Amino acid sequence: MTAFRRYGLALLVAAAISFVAIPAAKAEVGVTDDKILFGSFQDMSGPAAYLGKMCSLILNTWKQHVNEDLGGIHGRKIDTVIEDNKYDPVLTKGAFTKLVDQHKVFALTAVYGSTPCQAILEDIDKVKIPVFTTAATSQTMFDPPHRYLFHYANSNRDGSIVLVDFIINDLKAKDAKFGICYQDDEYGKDGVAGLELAAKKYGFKFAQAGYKRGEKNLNPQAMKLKAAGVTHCLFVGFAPVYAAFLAEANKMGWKPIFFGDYVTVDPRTFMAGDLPNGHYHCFDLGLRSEGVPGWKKMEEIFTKHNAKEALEWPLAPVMWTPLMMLTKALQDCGKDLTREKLVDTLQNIKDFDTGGLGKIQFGPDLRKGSHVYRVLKCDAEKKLFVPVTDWREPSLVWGKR
Amino acid sequence: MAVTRFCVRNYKQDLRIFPSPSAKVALAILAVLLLTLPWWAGKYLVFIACVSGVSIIGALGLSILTGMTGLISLGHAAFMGLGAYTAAILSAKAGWPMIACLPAGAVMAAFTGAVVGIPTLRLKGLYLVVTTLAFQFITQHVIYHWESLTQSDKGIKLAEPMILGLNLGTYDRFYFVILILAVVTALLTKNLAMSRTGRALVAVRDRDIAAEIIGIHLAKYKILAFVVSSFIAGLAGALYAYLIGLIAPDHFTFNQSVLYIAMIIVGGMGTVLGTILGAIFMVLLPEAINALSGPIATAYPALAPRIGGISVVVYGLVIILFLILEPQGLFGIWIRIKRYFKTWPYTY
Amino acid sequence: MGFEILLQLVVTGLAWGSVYALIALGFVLIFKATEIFNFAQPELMMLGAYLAFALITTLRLPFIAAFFAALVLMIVVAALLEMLIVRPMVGEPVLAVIMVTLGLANVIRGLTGLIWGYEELQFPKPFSSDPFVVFGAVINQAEVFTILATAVLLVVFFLFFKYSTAGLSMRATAEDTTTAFLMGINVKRVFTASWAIASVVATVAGIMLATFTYLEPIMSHAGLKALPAMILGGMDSIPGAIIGGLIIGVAENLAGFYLESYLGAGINEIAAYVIVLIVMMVRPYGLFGTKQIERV
Repeated sequence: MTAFRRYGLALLVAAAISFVAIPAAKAEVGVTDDKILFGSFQDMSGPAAYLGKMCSLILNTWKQHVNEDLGGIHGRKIDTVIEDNKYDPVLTKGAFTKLVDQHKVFALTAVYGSTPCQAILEDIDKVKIPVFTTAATSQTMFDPPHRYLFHYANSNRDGSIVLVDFIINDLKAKDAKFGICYQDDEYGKDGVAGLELAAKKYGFKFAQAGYKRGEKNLNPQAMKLKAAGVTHCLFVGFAPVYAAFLAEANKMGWKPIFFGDYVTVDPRTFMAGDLPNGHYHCFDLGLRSEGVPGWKKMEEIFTKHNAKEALEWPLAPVMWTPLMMLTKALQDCGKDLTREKLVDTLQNIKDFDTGGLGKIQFGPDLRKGSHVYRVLKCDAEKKLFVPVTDWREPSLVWGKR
Repeated sequence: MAVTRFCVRNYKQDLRIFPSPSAKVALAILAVLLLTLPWWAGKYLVFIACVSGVSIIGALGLSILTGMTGLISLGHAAFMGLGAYTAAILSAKAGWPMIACLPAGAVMAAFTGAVVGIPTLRLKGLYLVVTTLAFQFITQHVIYHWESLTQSDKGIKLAEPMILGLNLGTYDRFYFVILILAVVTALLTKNLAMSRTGRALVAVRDRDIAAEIIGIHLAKYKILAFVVSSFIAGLAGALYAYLIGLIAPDHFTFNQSVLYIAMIIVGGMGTVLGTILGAIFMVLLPEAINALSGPIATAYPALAPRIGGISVVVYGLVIILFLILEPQGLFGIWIRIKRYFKTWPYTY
Repeated sequence: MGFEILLQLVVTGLAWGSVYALIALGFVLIFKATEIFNFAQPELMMLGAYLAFALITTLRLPFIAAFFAALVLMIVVAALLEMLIVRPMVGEPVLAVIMVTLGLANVIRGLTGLIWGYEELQFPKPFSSDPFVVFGAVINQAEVFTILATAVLLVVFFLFFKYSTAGLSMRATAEDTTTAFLMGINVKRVFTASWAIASVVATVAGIMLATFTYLEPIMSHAGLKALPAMILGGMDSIPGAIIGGLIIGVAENLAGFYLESYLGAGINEIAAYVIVLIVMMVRPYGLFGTKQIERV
């Protein structure tokens, strides 16, 4: 009830402000009588070009879905403009300036990349432009929270804690020797930090081996973890590298139980044949193979708009769910759309129904959207990932939220 | 005829930094345009101008080492990184003002330049190239892993650039800082090229043993070239750090080093004007491709997923065709245009 | 245990080193004949691997057939590139030529992305993934074959340059282009041949690398490791390139295992460069490179 009242109050205040301060004719930046303009930067030709391709496809499908299937939002059509940032911080800064000052977009959506997003962190605060959402994994994206920046992605720190909880409480592993192989950057080190927290809680020591992004020869890392006698090995990195790591471990006859992070929940993990079979993964999204309503709806929409390719990507909901939530928020905002109102609306949406795609929840001081996880088991024969636990929160809470 | 007389210059004029009267007129117009840029250009264009300015400074530094002295370096971005990190650390952790951080970054890079320069004295050609490449990768590694100092890929956030209590933290203000420093660097480089030292450097480039025989102290001039070049690179790096506001190790990679090499080659080796043109060209080329590809992707959504690949191909093709047609670079084109007007109306 | 670990590390290091060695060999072959540093060499390697992949998956050729077909295709591609793009640049400043190869690298990378996408692709594995066991060290079959292939190529090149007319004319051209030309050697053909041979070596390297891991457009970055290998051995030495590659491969594997805890992840990546720095201080022309005697 209080939430409802606060929401109503915020609406009232926002409406009052917009009524008093802004003449009716002058609308918010990027919002015209018949159009709302959203911007995004995507890596179209750099190291994350695969992500860029998928995300622009999803973004485009969202535009078509809203405009054609829903008939727009309060009489306005959605338009999007995408700048290529090549995953490069300077180009991102340029792309941001171009989107804000030249295209005059209303808000940014569906962006990712730690270094690119960090480069514009300050500008977002200065311009006061909503960014909904970024999938950049860096902790600085939501801790401390920035009013205009919303983060929705699996946190590897949470992931490591969830996995250790699972190993100790569900698998009831005796004399487990923990180890972690991680991509040596912000993204991978987050996983190590989670393991450190869990190690402190449960009182164990662990072995670690990092590799540089782009490295292909994981022989020294696997050797090191094998020499340390690791029996439960976490892996934080991309699916093809995970496959290479499994092959390397197999080659040297090292047979621990592996625990992949959320991006290893990917068809490319099966590049290692039946090696990933029976090993575990941590994931925060619903699975297509479960046939949840959210995925059913995605299948319908993406098939209709010739974007079936995106359905092969298990991580697609990480971009799609926020876009659905954004659609709802835009509808809730009513005709007088402003940036401030959108941010307030977004942070006050409670229990958004994703149709089983995974929880997404923000709050007035909460900019981390992802909270609950499941542990999946890999079935290499059917090329599937099967949940073996219910949705659960990590047993440790860290950082300012 | 008047045009002809306007453009031709005599020997005395040749000795000046800006030889012909037409150069002066052109420069005056350019100066007015540049000085008023923030008022008539959009914020985005000003940002691009800032990036170009920093690139010009960086490229001028490299042109002293590679263009003038003939020492090819693939470690230029590492020197810029040293300058940037020195400035950022002093700004963020020691609270130094910008006016002190900029020279500090430059001096740090220059010092490292001397240290790197000494052991590379015996190296030539590609051996030197790969050794500077080694310096590039080792510097990157150290920046990345010296986490207590550099905060690794969390990056360092710089304090707002303040001069005399004036906050220069917006692009249209910081633009002037970059403009002034770019002009000063260009003038000094031009001056250096025309001095005894500059001629000594060129002699080293053309035939270092011959240069030594006519009394040029090889070691001294090679190290000097390294020091001056990395000083300028450090300055460019520090400026870059203030422009972006937050720097991370990913900003100073091998690709950046290659980009700077590309700037001076495309511009035309060893000339100040060529270097400036080359830097602007290489900054604008991806922008131009982006500007074209954006509308194309919007108009033909089916093409959108491929547009990235296409733009990489176009980028490569432009460079190839450009150099096959004009191996002297942009400076060669400039000379040709000038010759056209000089001989006008008797152009062949 | 300690010895087994060392042996294992060395063998895997040798296998990866063979790949670097082959890429470095490509650099050296072109450099020796034409004095051009071909920045597109890693991209040629990638293109070769992708072509073999396409032949296997779309034309359903058996691995061996696809392997040789890819070699032939790459010879054609490289010869065309040399004639259309590099030859017009003969006599222009060396740096401009290098820049052209950089542009070429971009074009190849972009086209590969356009045709095959940026997604990692699994390369059909020609060798069984069941390892051999030798003295307690477990060795991947693909690694053994890579090492053998490199050895065979080395012997073939040695014989080619020592005894065949084509090899001799290539050496003569490398020694002195003008004199070779005056002696009646078809210098143009030698240039084209050097590109063709370099592309063959690159393709072998690319296919080896792809069987170790997977295919992706940025696999060309692994080609960068060939630079220290080449310099270490000496830029104009063919055995130097091979030995340089092997040294670098083994050194980075050892560094990754023994030094990672102290010097941070990625130490294996820069181990090569540290070695190069040290060797350059002692021998400025590499381990096997010829010292240039300059006359004014």
